[in-house]
Amino acid sequence: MKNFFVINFHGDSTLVIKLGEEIDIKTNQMLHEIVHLLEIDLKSNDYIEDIYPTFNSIIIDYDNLLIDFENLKSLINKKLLTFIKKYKTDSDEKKIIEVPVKYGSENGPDLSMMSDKLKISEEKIIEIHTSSLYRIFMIGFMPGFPYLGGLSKKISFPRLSTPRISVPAGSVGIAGIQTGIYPFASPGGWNIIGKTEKKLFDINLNPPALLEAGTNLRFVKI
Amino acid sequence: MIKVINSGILSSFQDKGRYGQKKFGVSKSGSLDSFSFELANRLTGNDIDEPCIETLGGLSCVFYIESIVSITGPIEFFSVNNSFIYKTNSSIKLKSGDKLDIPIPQKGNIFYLSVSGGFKIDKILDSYSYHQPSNITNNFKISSGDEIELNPTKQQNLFVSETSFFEKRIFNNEKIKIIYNEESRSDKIKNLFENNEFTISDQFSRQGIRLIGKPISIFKDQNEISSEVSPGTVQLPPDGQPIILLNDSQTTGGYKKIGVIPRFELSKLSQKPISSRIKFSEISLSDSISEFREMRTEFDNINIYNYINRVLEINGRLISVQILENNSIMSISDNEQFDIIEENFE
Repeated sequence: MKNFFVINFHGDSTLVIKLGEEIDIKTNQMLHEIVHLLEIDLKSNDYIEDIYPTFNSIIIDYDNLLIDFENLKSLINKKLLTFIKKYKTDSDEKKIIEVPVKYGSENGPDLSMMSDKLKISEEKIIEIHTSSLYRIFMIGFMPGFPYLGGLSKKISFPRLSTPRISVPAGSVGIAGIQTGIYPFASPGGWNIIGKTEKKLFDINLNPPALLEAGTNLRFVKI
Repeated sequence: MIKVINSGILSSFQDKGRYGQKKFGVSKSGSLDSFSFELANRLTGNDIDEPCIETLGGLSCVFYIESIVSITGPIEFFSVNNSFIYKTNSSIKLKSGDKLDIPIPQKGNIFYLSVSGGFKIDKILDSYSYHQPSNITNNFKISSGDEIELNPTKQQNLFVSETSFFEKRIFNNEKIKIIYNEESRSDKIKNLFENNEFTISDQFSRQGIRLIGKPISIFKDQNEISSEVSPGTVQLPPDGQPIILLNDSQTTGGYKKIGVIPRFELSKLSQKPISSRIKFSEISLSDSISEFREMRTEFDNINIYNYINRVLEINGRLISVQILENNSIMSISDNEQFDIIEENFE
C-alpha cells in the first residue's frame, strides 16, 4: 500500500505530517481523527508545544532541546501505521453549529453589487448561501477565523480589488470559492454579504473559539 | 505602582509565549530575544518565565515604590531621573519617585525590563504575552498613561552579568543560519539566497521582518494552500523580497516558503536594527540542534555577580562604580561623558 502520509521537517522545531496535496473532505476527516489521536497520546509530553491541523496537514511544534526530529518522526510513524489499520471512514455526522446572519444592506454592503454582477437576486444568493452545509477545514489567519469548504460555485465571487481598511467583527464574506466570518475587525478584501452577532472568539470561554475544525457549519438567515 | 509616561515603540508584556492554542488560530507570541528576556529575570531574582516589558526603546516610566529592576538587551546605557546613567545587563535599585528612561537602542533592537517580584497582571489564554495583530490581549500592550501594579519585591541584592555571551552569540555580524525545507531545497534557491545581501526594512513588527535585496522572483504564480509556518519561517512572495516571520505571525500562511531560521538564531535576527545588512548561510537540521545545545549551555553558565554601586563625586562630576564582592571593579561610568570609560579590570 502506498503510504498515505509523508513526514517532513519545517525548520528545527516543527514537524509536518502531510496527507495528500488536495483539499478534500475525506482527507480532512481522516486528518482530524489523527489530530484527535495525537492529542490524546502526545500532548501531555513536555516536548510537545502545539498540535494543530491545516487543510491537508498536521503540524507539531516541539522543543528541540528535549526531542529530536528523527525520534519524533519514528514515534509518529508507528502511531499512524497502527491507526490506519483500524481506520474506517466515518459518516461525518458530527455536530453542526448554526450561525445566525443578518444579510444585506448595512450588514452586507457588497450583497447588492454581487447580485448585479452575478445576475442573481439578493434573495436567491441568500438562499444558496444558507442551503449548504459547510465543513470547517481549519481555523487560522486570526484567532477563531474559519476556513470553510462547500460554497456553491454559483455564488463564488472574486476578492475586492482594493481591500477595505476595516471590516467589522462578525462580517460574513465571500472570496473566490471560499466563505468565512471575521471574528475581529480587520482589514480585508472579502465581499461582505452579512453579519452575525455571534461571538466567534471569547478568551473567557473554554475552548475560546466557537468553531472547531473538523465540524460543520450552517448559516441561518434572521 | 509604576506610571508609564511614554510608551515608546512596540512596548508590551511578554513571557515565554502561548502554547497549545494554534488550533484556535492563536499564535505563540512571547519574547523575541528569549536569551535577553531570561537574563532580565535572573538579574532580579525572578522565575525565568516571569513576564517582562519588551520594548524597541523610548519607554519612560515613574516608579512609585522602591524596586529592584533590570534592563537587558543591547549593551548600552539607560538613565534615571534624566541624569544618572547605568549600564544594561545589571540590576539597580530605584527609589519611589524615580523616573526610568530606556533609550532607542543603537547597537541592537530590543530591551527587556524586569522588576523583582513581577508585574501584577492576569494571564490571558495561559500566557502574559501581548499578541500584536489580534485584539484579545490588549491588556498586555503598554500605552502612555498606563498605571501598572507590582508584586512585592523578591530580593534586595544587585547583580551584574558578564556580557561576553551576548557579544559572541547575538550582537555579532556573522551570517544568519537557515535550514532549507526539503521540498524547496535546490542549488538555484541556495545560490540566489546566499549570494544576496539583504537590508532589514522598516517593515519590522512582532509579526515579521521584511527584507530588501536583489529580488528572487522565482515563484511568480503562487496559489498555495495555507500551510505550516513558525517563528523563523522564510517566505518568498511573488515580488521576490523575503519575509521572515516572527512570534506574532499568523498560524498558517499561503506564500511559498524556502526554509526556517532556527531557534538559536532568532535572538540574533530580532536584535538586528532596521537598515542593517545581513547575509545567510545553510545549516543542517542536526547541526542546528548541537549549536542550540551549546548556546544554551553557554548561557546557563554566564557568570552573574553580586555587586554594589558606589557613586563618587570627583571635581563635581558623578562617577558610578560597580564593585564586586571580591572588591574587583566591574565597570566605571562617567555620567558627564555619558560613557563607560573602562570595564572588567581587577
